Amino acid sequence: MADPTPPATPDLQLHADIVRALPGFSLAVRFTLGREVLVLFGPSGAGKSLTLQALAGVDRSHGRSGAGGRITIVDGDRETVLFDARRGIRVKPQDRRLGYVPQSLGLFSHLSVTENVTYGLRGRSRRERESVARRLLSLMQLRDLGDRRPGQLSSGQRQRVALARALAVAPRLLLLDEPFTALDGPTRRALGAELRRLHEQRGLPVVLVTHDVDEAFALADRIAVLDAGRLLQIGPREEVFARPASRRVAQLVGIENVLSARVRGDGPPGSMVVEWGPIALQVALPPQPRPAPGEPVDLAIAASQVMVLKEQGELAAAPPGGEGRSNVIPCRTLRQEMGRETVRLELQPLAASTPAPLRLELPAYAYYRLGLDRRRTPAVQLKPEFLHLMPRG
Amino acid sequence: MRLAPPRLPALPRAGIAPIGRGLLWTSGAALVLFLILPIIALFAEVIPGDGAWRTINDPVVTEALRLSLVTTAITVGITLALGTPLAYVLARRRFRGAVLLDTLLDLPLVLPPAVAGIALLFTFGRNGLLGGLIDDAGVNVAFTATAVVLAQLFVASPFYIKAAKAGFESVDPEVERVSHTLGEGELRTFFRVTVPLAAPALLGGIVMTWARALAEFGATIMFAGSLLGVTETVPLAIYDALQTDLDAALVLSALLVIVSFAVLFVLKVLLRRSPMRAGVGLEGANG
Repeated sequence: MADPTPPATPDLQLHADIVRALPGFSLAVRFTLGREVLVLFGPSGAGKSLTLQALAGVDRSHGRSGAGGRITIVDGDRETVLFDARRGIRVKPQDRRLGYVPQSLGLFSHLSVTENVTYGLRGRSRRERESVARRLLSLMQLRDLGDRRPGQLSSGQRQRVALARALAVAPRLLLLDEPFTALDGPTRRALGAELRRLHEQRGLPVVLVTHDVDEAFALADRIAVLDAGRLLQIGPREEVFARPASRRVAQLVGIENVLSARVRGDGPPGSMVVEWGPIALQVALPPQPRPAPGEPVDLAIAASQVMVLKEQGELAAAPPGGEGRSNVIPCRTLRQEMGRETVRLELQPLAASTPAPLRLELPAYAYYRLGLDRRRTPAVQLKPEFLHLMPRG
Repeated sequence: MRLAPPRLPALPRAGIAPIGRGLLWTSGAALVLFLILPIIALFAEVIPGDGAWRTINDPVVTEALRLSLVTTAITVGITLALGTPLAYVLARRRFRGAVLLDTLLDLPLVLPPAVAGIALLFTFGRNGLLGGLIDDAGVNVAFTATAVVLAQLFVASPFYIKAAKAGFESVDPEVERVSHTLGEGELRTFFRVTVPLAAPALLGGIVMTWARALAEFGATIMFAGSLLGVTETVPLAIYDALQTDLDAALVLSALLVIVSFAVLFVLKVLLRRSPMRAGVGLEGANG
């Protein structure tokens, strides 16, 4: 039995340099994809879907004057050029062997599930088509649904059919546009886990588009953050979430505290000191180039990483600025919002003329254990290792 | 002692109030009656007069039927071959002047057939726009079977173009893109995906075009004349026979009604059963 996805060499790589000039929108992104799940993340209108379509070779401006750049696949020591604007190479989508699943799925509603899955196998023997269909239907848990039409399936099943159909032609990589947006929570998580498993079993590279932060974090090996047609940052997901490259990236990945600050100078070894309004904060030394004293910078810290200190005694025992007690800020509670499992707080630093309140989120039990339901003036600590310093763009 | 079940007040029936409903039915019935009464009258005249059916073998009848079948078949064939790519381009491509072109294509649908006839004469006739060209080629178009087909094509093909355009527009371009990524080029994608998905609309358009071509009278009589066996289609034969051979006119009329009804009815049943009803059926032909 022919395996539709033969184990490929471990060093398959996609190099994408995509330029599109459309009326009112321009796209310019460049990235490399290995044997991984790369998530294209960004708000709507960022150019994520267009990037995916450009990879698949199905975008409208493909082959027109507004298209530039170069897309190649390196498989072992063989390089395949899919697109090269300068040399006039435009491989048609039907010759690219990339699995493409658009947001609308694009299922063939006039064909059965089995016919959908085997659509790309025209010219193969009937036995081969049947065996591929059988294997993929069972892999995607669609075993008894082969004779149904797409209109008779649930949205989760439809999603599986679209995935099976793309896999049937043994694609070199998988391009998925918002694959789980139409699904309810549990189905979404189940299918997400299935996709990860599929990827890990086959080592099939995946480019996945989403505007959902949680989905991006759950599925990605690396994340590419797009905004207004530009690639703002690309890197391992932990890095993008912990060390966003700019204020905009921090906002997009949902980091709620971005503080405008100014560099004061060196701090204790391995750190530097910045001023957030009247408050001096110790920050771990960023990688080179280091911002000079007086330079404006942005500080990012996630709502879940702002720590609330215990009652007064502790604060008195270790005065601000002491070892391990840096970045302690007495605050006043502005607002609190009780969630089902967590509590969100907005705290105003007590120091005069501080620019903005701090947002934080903590588990409900911690909220009560820390006595925040009684205290109106808790102190928080912004641990230097959680404070991420970004150059002002 | 058993208690009688409590009597509940009758619930008002949802929807339109009884009076309104009655009015709705009677007004509808009046129009339906008006529309089918002439058909009944026609058959009331044809059925008892067994003498009338004898004319079915008259050359006037057989020649007209033959000519109508052949010319409408050619018209439908040409419409399909030239109209399908045109409709697809109209549905998929955005270009300058699209609205203008769309309006021009609608024109034959609203023009009186007599206007179409004159326009065709001044295009293909001996003194027409292309008359010299056609003369040089040694052919004569006006008052031939070719003219019959041209007249039908002019008044009937826009029905198909409009229906097919609506049908193609209803097919999500994303579906075609996916087909491309699955290894199928433009042409195969068109026939494996686009046409099946637009099939109900295409079928509706074909039938409307055929029906309109079959019924064509005004443009034909002006541009093609009424020569037995050459340009005298069924509607023309009916008109001629009305003065000479009433039985033949009645039989031809009845046949036309039967054939038209059968085709429309079968189409509706087919579309109803079709698993891929795209919501564009016969209605699309006029849309």
